[in-house]
Amino acid sequence: MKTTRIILSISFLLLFPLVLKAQHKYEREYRIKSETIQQSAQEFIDSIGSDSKIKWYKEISLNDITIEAKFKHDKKKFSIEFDTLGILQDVEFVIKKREISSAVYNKIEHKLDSLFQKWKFQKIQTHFKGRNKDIITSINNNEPTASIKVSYEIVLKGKALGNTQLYEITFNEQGEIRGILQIIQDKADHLEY
Amino acid sequence: MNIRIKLLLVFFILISSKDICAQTQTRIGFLPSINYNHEINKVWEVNFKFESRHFVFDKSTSQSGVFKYKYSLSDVSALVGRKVGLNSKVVLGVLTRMEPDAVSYRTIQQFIFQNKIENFRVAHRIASDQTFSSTEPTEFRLRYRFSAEIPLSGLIVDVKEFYFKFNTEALNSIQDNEYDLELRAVPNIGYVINEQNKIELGLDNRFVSFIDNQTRFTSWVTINWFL
Repeated sequence: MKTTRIILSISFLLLFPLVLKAQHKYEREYRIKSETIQQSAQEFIDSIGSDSKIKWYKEISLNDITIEAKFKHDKKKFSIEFDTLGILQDVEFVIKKREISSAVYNKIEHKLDSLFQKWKFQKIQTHFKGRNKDIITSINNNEPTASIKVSYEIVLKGKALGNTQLYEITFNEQGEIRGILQIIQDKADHLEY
Repeated sequence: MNIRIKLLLVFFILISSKDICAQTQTRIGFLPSINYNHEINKVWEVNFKFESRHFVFDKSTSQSGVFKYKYSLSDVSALVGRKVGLNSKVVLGVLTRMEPDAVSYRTIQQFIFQNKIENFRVAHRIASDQTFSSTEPTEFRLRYRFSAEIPLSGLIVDVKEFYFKFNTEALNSIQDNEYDLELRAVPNIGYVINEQNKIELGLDNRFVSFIDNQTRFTSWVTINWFL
């Protein structure tokens, strides 16, 4: 998540009682020019046929460097990640909760109710993983093909043990929880004082 | 035109806006500050600030401007903040104002909340304060400040990156049954030195005595160090 600087990893199995390991997430991103983008990445984005301006970013983390394209397509905010060779890594786009099938949504809701006393969505993103061709088809049809691996990344405000925090929770296509991160927000003393 | 270029243009227009104020009393000075913030735990934090004012230029309506250094005052404040929501806090504190021939005291109450609009981080501050002095009647103020931070590279402000910050504030005051209004516009360019330290250079433009009185314009060159 780009809104975060430091994220504490928490085991989703041992959700609140045990914080297994605290990690500092190092990430930097820069805007880069489209001329510097690998042709394969450029072609993939072109094949989606978005009318909006494509903004390219280079993202540097401790483990790797990725190239990210951000744009709007079909009224959805897309973020598509490539490695430095232009090979597709991840496709994510913002959706509304009603776009999740009701059976899966009910499962997610049930899980969130069990984890938090109170919770509220901030953002829901769908992730597509699969072959380039299938991803393009899925985006164009607004429906993932059978070969696409779908997951949901949810950012929410959750109250647990009387404490309200921001969380990033990942669910698989069946609505089973796959990961939970507590988001530590950046210091904002220069805005507040 | 890129939004950041537009904002930088606004910044430079504000810098050159002093000519607009040819008819008002205009003062220019330096306003350095050190701002130390410490999180005691997840809920409580303390903030200490030292700020001093130094005039270098003074021009009243009847005479031409004079470049002359003059020390004005120093403020020392101590605030205690308590988180009341994910992005909101209540802050209480005191400030001591030390002038060459007088000392005054201020009590401060603030409610601050922040959110994010796309790449902009914004904060709202609703505050009241009361200034007590042995030489003047107590002054009561009610103020609202809006602050926005815009990264100048990438989507968020990282270490060793610059940002643009803009504060604007409206201050209502009542002193001795006289109401007054002050408006402030403060563009800043900031730099994140490391996780703990930020430095900002800006212009604190203040239009004082909007109602009834002779409007006074003061422009401070601010240098803020947040640690």
